[in-house]
Amino acid sequence: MTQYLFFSGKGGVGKTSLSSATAVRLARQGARTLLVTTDPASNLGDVFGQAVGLDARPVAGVPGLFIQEINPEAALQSYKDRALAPMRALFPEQIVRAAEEKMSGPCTEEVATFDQFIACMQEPDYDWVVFDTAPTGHTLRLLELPGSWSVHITESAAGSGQTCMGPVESLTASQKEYDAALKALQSESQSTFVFVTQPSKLSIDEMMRASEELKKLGIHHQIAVLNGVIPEEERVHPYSQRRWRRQMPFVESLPQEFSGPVGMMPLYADEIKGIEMLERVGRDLDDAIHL
Amino acid sequence: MTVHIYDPEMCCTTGVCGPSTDPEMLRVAQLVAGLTREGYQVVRHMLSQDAAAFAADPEVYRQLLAHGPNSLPIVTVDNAVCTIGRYPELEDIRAMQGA
Repeated sequence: MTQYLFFSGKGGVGKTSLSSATAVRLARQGARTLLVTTDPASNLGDVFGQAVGLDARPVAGVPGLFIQEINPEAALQSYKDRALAPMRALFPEQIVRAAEEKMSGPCTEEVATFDQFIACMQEPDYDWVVFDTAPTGHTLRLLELPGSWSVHITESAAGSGQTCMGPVESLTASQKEYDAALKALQSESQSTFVFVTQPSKLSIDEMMRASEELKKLGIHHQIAVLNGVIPEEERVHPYSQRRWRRQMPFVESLPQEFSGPVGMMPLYADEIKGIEMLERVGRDLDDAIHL
Repeated sequence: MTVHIYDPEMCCTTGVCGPSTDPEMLRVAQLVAGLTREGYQVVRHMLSQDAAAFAADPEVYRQLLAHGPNSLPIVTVDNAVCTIGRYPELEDIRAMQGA
């Protein structure tokens, strides 16, 4: 059974670094691992020093590790191509183009992106699929969809037809897949949500909200990682001491506030890129918390 | 009796969504619900999802090729054209029944 790890949190908190380090560690332990980014602003390619594409590509130097990106624009294009192909066979270009223009709304893009997200969850070839997810709000909307979609699909099938979830009708064939995905997300033995947060008020507030939202969806297997904590031996310098004093209250209070385990990761002096650095971060993360 | 609604391209097959719902689409949704209750079979089609349906009805196909997407919506009752370029009122449908 494939295991899933979802990294979540505000932009810039270190999701890509920690998810990449985790994926490298899993692969090094012998697990076939896929690392997927759905964040259009992700720098996965820079972290690994190689190109990321829409298909899973092997990572040089780490056998068993593959990286892939879900690009909303590309997802929309392939969705449109699929939908328009039968029309092209029957109608002149002018009519096809008019239909295509109407298909370019954000709601179609969301559906198309989500479709690929589900596809990544159903890759049977991997022991682990690690998602370096998009910033929190977007992530939650994606995750929130399966529940409401299933209801919508069922209602539409029953003929109420009064609600609308966008071009969801064309996806009804996959209701089973959405239900399976939601079940997998809710399964404690299969999925873990890792909230990455800085020890600061805004970052933690947002994390707590996101955590509650997930619980409402029946997703309870949550872990928090406080990232960028000033290491103990560095707290003597005036500047880093000031920063530590700002961080300290959150480092102390979060384990009480958050319902799941909380781990702490240090602020690194060096940039987190390249396999060697990722292995070091992966070791530290493994010491900090069990994922 | 079967009513086929060939919609213009919309976000979904009801068009009833988003922050500013078109009152006309609300009216059509109600019309469809009413007709369904009366025992009509109502089927809605959209080009991007069901292009073949637009080609399967010769008159709809001809209109579309001749006048482009602006001829939509087209509504047929038992395969006879009821309205072109607008959605029918209940009376339009009833008139078709008498014909």
